[in-house]
Amino acid sequence: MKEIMKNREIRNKILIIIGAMIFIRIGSVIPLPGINTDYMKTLLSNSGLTFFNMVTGNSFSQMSLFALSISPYITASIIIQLLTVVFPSLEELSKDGKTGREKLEKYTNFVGIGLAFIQSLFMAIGFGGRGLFSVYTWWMVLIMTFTWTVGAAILMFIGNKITKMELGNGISYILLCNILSTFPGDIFSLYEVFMNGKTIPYQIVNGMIIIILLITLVSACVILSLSERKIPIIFSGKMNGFSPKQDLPIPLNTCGVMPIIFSSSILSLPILISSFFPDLIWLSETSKYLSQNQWFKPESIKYTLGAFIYILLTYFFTTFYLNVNFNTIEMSNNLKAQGAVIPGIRPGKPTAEYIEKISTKIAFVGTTFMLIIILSLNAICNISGIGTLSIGGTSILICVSVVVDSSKVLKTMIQSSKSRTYYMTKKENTTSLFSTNRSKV
Amino acid sequence: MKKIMKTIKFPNRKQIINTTMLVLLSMIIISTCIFMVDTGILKIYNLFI
Repeated sequence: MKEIMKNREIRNKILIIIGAMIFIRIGSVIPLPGINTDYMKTLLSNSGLTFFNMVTGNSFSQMSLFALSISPYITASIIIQLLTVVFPSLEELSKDGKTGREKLEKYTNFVGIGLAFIQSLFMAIGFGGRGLFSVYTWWMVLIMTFTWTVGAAILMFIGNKITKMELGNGISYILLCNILSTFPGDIFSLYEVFMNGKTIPYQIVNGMIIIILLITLVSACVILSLSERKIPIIFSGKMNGFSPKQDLPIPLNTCGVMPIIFSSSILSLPILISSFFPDLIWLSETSKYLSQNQWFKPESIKYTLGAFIYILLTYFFTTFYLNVNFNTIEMSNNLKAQGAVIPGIRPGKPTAEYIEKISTKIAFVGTTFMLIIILSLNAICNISGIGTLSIGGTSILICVSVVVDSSKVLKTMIQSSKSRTYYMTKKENTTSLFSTNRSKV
Repeated sequence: MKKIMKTIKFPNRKQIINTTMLVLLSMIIISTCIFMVDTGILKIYNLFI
């Protein structure tokens, strides 16, 4: 902490991020004029949109400027990544280094804004006529559609700007801020359900159980984030004092939380659509299967079938994300260029195939571990009757991943800044020594 | 599965405790700050409306 405060560059960047988050909160908390927020609260208590509301940081329930938050961006990135498999030109872009990735990011933003417009229009028409707007007219629909689209575009812009500051992913920071904004409300709900009006020993026992569960959950997520499979590599030639034997680490959580976010977003889309058409009974019944709040409930156990769709989707996105983002051929080429080999494996294609085989196995173990954490907590919450909470496996996993990644980035930045300062001081000393000697001569 | 699990290097107890504490502290501090900011914004908003 002291080192962060000492470093002016990092301190300024952190202050900018804090400023951006305060701005986002202003746009998320203040409801727009002409909006009936009670309608949204009733809708959220009856539907399975808790995850969607959590991703938007309660701004969906407030129907504020940032009502859609970064959800269109998440959907857009899923679409663009799916398209990279279909269109070879997009696949080339994804493998074209920094320039290609920047172009893909541009496309994702455009698709995100398009999706935000469509989603806003559907929301304005679907919810507006049912009591969301105090006055339901075509210009009100138009104004709200425009406002929500602009809100989503502003968040994408802020997210991208934070990413460019090289202090971690901006969209992840916004997501973390949104998730954590729902926690105080959840803690209050937990207090209301398990402690309010109970005797003191009962309150202490319940409080202890909740704290132990939270610590266990965070620890499990930490283990998942820090575990890795080390592939031994040997460097040929001289290593200038370094050990010729090193490891190529493949994290257990290779794909991060992206498969979980993707599958949860895909599942919440039909639920959102069904809330536009409450008269369609088949659609609302189908959406109950997809709602995480309905799974594992003893009184409606049939809806647990939706959990299997969730599991299948998560495995699908794990494979997919691995194929698109984990470039084993590039890794193999890099190893070859550095003169490194995996013992017993020939360089080039066999190395790429070996890394792919190992990473696929590791990623599947990681995803299984992640699903166990998420679904077991979901079962505990739904069976004990606190299913509408947003503190869940997915949200905690996202928080752990973002905090662990950010601390790694901060450590690296502090280290590089330290070494830069060291070399600058050394250079200055050498120069001054040289000039002193010269003046003596 | 067992074979794969054997090859994975899990973090040691110290690493787990340190990171868990870091995550929990960050979560508590950030959510408290956000709660205070939200409450402040709403109070100011209600003053003007």
